Amino acid sequence: MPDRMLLWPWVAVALAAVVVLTVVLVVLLARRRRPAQDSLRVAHTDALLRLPEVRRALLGHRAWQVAGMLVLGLCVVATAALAARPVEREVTSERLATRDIVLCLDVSGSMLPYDAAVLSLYADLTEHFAGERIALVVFDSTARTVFPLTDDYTLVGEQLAAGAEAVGLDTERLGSKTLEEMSDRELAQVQDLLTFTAGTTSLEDSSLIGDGLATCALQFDEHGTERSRSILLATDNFVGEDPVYSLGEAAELVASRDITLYGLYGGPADRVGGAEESDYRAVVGAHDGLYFTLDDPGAVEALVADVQAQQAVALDADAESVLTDVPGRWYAVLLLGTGMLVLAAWRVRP
Amino acid sequence: MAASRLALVRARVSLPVTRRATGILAGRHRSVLTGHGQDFDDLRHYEVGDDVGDIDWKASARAGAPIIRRFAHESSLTVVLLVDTGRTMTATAAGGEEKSTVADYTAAVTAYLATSRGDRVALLAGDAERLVHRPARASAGEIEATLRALEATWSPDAPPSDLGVLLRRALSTFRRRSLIVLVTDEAQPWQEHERLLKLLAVQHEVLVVAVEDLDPFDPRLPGMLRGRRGSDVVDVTSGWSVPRFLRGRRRPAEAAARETARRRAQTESLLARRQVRSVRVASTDDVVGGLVSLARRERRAR
Repeated sequence: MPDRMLLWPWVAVALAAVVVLTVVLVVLLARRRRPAQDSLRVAHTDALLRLPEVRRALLGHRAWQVAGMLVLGLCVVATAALAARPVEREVTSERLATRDIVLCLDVSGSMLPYDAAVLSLYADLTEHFAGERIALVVFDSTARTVFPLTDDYTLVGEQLAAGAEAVGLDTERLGSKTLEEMSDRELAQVQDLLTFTAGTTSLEDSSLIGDGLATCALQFDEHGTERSRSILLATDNFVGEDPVYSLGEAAELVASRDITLYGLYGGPADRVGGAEESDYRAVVGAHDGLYFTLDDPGAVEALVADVQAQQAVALDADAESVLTDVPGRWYAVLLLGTGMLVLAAWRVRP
Repeated sequence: MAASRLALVRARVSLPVTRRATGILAGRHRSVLTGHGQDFDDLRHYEVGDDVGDIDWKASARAGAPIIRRFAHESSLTVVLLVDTGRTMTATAAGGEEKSTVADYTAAVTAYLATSRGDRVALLAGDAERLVHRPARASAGEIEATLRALEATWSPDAPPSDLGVLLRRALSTFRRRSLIVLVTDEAQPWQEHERLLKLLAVQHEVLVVAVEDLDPFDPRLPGMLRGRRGSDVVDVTSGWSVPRFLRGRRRPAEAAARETARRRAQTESLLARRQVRSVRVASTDDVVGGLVSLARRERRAR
């Protein structure tokens, strides 16, 4: 919220003081000035002074003088106002821009039916952010960066929407068909899915969740700067065989890098409370991360609140204010006043 | 100061002009001596404007037409310089000189004309607070001293004019019929002095020489101001500084000219009503011409 203020109010005060001082000095000097010695002496002007024509000329002159004084005063006020630099100060939320969030999505076969929902939740989430950098990493046995950390929300929105569409295809129905039986549209959908999940599968393994999380942890850059880093992991924790990192080890790695880990359980609802889900919840909970299931209605709000809260504390010192000069109408007043002043001065010239 | 005022006048005014100007004195003597039966000069036909009292009824009866009697000049009569020395007289005259200079010169010319005829010259100069009286003297030295006395009275800080005091004092001081030359400025004589002027005009021959005031809206004003250090135009009475912006204004200037003309007409009609001849002078150059015109009017009117 920009607020209006005077940047240098003391300049206006100083200017006012100078003006008042000058006026007082001039008045005093004018008082002290003795009548001109060498003036031309005339007599019997009082009768002329009473003439209506002369009175009118005198009154007109006086009116112009008064008008000139008023305009001069206005100009002084406008000048003082401008000199005091009226500015609009906008405290930019730099802390928002210092948040990095990596959305880490398990696209293994078991997760695919739920990934559309996860991606739409991601999309919901990004709508609550402004300035944060967001990355999307998908993984199965290996991880692929869909897009690296960016604050280009148009791109983020497009990619999340495209991903949701790609994973939203009916795998049950299409799985039963051969490629020859598929329509062009279905082929295109399969193509999209393959493109989206490309590079996440290797021949031997699948669902290496710990490895995926570890890869996500490597997405963060600018290690020298104090930024808030978070990973929002969405998985069902159905681990394939022989990962390099177990989920626990990956979580350790994440924690060691000062990255906050949020857990989102993306598996089927009837498996909540199962061994995998409990293990997942325990790992996330061990590092004080928030944990949600996909059908948790408060997930988005809680995530946003937590992300913003912790980072506000961390980066308050970086709050930066942007000052914009807003001379506003004073310029017009000064310009107009100066014009009128010239006119008045011309009218009352001796 | 060293040079004699009378000598300065003599140097400046040519003899024929002097003769014409001396007419003011001639006229005065005639009227002064009317009815006194001294040095009868000539008879001539009555002209419109002549004083009816001058008509010689016997001669008129003989001639069948109104005849008036004229008398020869008589010397050793008194010319009274009645001079207003108020503060306004130290202001600037219409010609650019100080009004007091013009008044001085008027007095000097009048005195010169008087001495050339052997008349005596008296001075009564004054204002609201001061009064300078020099009794009638005929010698050039005394008259010179009189003129110097007049010159010495001018002061920028002088009290205001008071013509009433001056006229009253003249009435009480000069018992013998004399020629009174009243030197003042054109704002006077005012209506309030009409009674005094009337009384004075009955007893004496009164001429008024009015020095014209400089019009502060006069277009020649900038020329007069050139060469001065200050460029202010200040009223000597009120101290009002005439604003510069008014000087070039046509309408105020025209109104001022109209007002001045109106005032002059008023004064002239007042003086004419009292049979007082008057002339306005703007500068020392106008003085002799003004006196000549007074003399002409004398001859025509009486």
